[in-house]
Amino acid sequence: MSESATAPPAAASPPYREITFSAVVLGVIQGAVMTASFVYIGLKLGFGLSGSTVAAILGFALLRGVGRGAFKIKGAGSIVENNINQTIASGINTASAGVTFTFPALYLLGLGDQIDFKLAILAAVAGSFMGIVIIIPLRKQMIEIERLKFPSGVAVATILKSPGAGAAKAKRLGLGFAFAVGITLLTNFHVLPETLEIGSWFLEDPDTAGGWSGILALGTSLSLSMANFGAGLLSGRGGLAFAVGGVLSWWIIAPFIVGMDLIAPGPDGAMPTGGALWGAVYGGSLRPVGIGVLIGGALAGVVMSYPALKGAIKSLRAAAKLAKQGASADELPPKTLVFGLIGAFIALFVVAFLGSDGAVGMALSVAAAATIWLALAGLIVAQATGATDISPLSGLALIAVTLMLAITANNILLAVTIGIAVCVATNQCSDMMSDLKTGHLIGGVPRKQQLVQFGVAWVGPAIAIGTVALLWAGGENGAGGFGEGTALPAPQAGALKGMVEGVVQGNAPLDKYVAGAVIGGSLALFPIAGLGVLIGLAMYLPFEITLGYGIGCVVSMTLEKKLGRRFYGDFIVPVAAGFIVGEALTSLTLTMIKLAQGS
Amino acid sequence: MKQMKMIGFVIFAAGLTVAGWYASLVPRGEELVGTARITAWFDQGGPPFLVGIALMIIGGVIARRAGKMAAKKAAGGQGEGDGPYRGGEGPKPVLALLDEMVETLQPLSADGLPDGRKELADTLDALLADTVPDFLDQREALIEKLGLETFAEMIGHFASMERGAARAWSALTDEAWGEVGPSLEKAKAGILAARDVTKAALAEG
Repeated sequence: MSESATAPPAAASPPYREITFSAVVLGVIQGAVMTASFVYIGLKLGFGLSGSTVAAILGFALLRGVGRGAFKIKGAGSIVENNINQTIASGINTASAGVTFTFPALYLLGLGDQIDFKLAILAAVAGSFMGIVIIIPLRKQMIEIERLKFPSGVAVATILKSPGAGAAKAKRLGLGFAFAVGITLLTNFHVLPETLEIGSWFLEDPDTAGGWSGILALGTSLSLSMANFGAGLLSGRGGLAFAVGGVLSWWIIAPFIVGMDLIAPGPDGAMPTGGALWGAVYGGSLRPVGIGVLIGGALAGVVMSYPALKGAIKSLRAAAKLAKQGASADELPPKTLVFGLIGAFIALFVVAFLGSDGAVGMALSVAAAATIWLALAGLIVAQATGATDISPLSGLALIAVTLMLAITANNILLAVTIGIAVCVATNQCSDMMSDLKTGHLIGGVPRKQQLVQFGVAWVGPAIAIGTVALLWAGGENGAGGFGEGTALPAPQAGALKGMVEGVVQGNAPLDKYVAGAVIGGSLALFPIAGLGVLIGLAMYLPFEITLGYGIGCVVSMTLEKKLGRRFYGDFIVPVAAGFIVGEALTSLTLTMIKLAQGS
Repeated sequence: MKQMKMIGFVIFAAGLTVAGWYASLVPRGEELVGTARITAWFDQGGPPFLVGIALMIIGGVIARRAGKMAAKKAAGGQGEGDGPYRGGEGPKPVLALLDEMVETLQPLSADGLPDGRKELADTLDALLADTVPDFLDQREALIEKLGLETFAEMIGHFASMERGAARAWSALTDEAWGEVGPSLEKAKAGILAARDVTKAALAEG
């Protein structure tokens, strides 16, 4: 930072720009455009994208560059102002994944003509608000008390801080960015595989591989995702339990259950081989047990961290009291949480009441179960993304819909509508928490971030639901615009459709959920915070992700031990942030190009 | 205590493995739908699953106990003094670190900016990148000593200090000189409150 002889003195400097008209407008425009685009991408490819990095970079160009250059606004595009812009943009766009994973399933299930759009939007908006209020006490718990890493939040903070971080750190950020761009391009154009099938290198014929050694080899693979590796680098020691969970799942549990014939045989009664074996182990055992472990771990975690949550709420109350006496408040008061929960309950009750033709008892049960599940799912997602940057969104939506189908006696329309609320809420929760981590690192005021997110929470759900409806109507004769056999296969919604049909026929793997939940509860006894969620997430995911992430953790720990903590902050953080941002932006650009070409 | 923790960990890991094996068992039988799946699964894999869970509980309790004893010892709870790590060769005592942060922040001022802005930004950067992580390294021992509720109160003030210092750094980068002073004051108030809470709790024992 060079000294400037012509810089104005302190008294003459303009007020520090944070919540400004231009930041809000830019955030809303970016968020709206990204929501519609990401709904389309979600229906086409089956995954969601985060808009924080894009919004932060565009914020610099538009708020700082154009604001200071073209409009001569003094101090425009400050770090905290750009943070508000990215908070709004990602807060709106976060609804796209929540809606895309659930709402289109109603069309695929043939219920399109029965959809009540007002109820669907009300449910999604209720979920969106609920996701924000739930993180009021969780912010203190996870960011301040548990000190979770939130790798994407750190990456965005690194971008926001780059103007003042010095040339060396900027170069390292650029280096990581360029490397990730290179790897992503090489994998995209098939010069490199997306996943190294390491175990299969040792198999004569992977398609016929069976038995314990077969699954050991088939399960051992490594993702070349630099974002995944970067998240591991940023998490270091804190993420190691997640990697250990992957090793336990794929190198210890999977070979044993196959060797002991504990998995389901194929339709011909014989043990499956090759891809079918991998699918039976992953889809039939590890993934559903993992979902159970996530739930049990989160529930037990609430019990174990009850004193901390109590302490967090106590300090929120104290801050609210001080604010009443005129002090500036960093936090929203705890009553916001209470009003938010009551509001979400009422909204969900209205949805359930109208969706069940006025059955008050059922509507009350649905609203109560959905509110409790929303809170728990929010906790799970916040903890999972905080430690690993990975959100088990689809698994939690699946449980929500299963739960609602049970309560509503298989009222699919209502169950999926409530599923929209859960999915939007959980995604909102992880996004808001990540944004608050960014804010913590750059000195943003949590209350301001939460207030702007409240202000725009309704925008994303309305745009996302409208976009899905438009795309459906874009098919022949005004229907069938997405689904199998079309240009938009809607894979996540297709999976939800399959699951709903399975549950209605009584095929949900309840035994796996229950057994997993017992394990998750027991994991909370070990003195590592969030262990249940981390192990559950590791079981829920294929090994290629946990292995790549785990290598990142080990590399980070080794370098930090050998070269010191300063090295972590000065080198690992900017390089890893570059990896995450580089892959995210390259993937987004490539996806847009592909969609524009109509491929 | 390390040995005890290791024993606890081994028992816990063994239990997790066994429980994981039998949780993954897919029950065999005709027409297994709904809760019948749970009953069939328990009939076929329940006993070894419960053995695994029992081992997890035993191992978890042993490791937790060992961790508590280690933290107590590290926190000076065995007559070695009234402050964490006092007299030990381990990390710097937490109170000393809090004092260090108070001493770093107290003289900082926004008067005269933009002169001296680089030094001010570097001081804040060093505080956030070095001293804060050193303090947070002792989180577990501090939770053990203060209790989770008091720790939550203390860390709330501490986080306020972090946000104040980070905001002052951001304002310096953005040349928003008028914001630097109030942010520094907030950081100072936060660290003083964190130190007061810690001192009071340690004095209470």
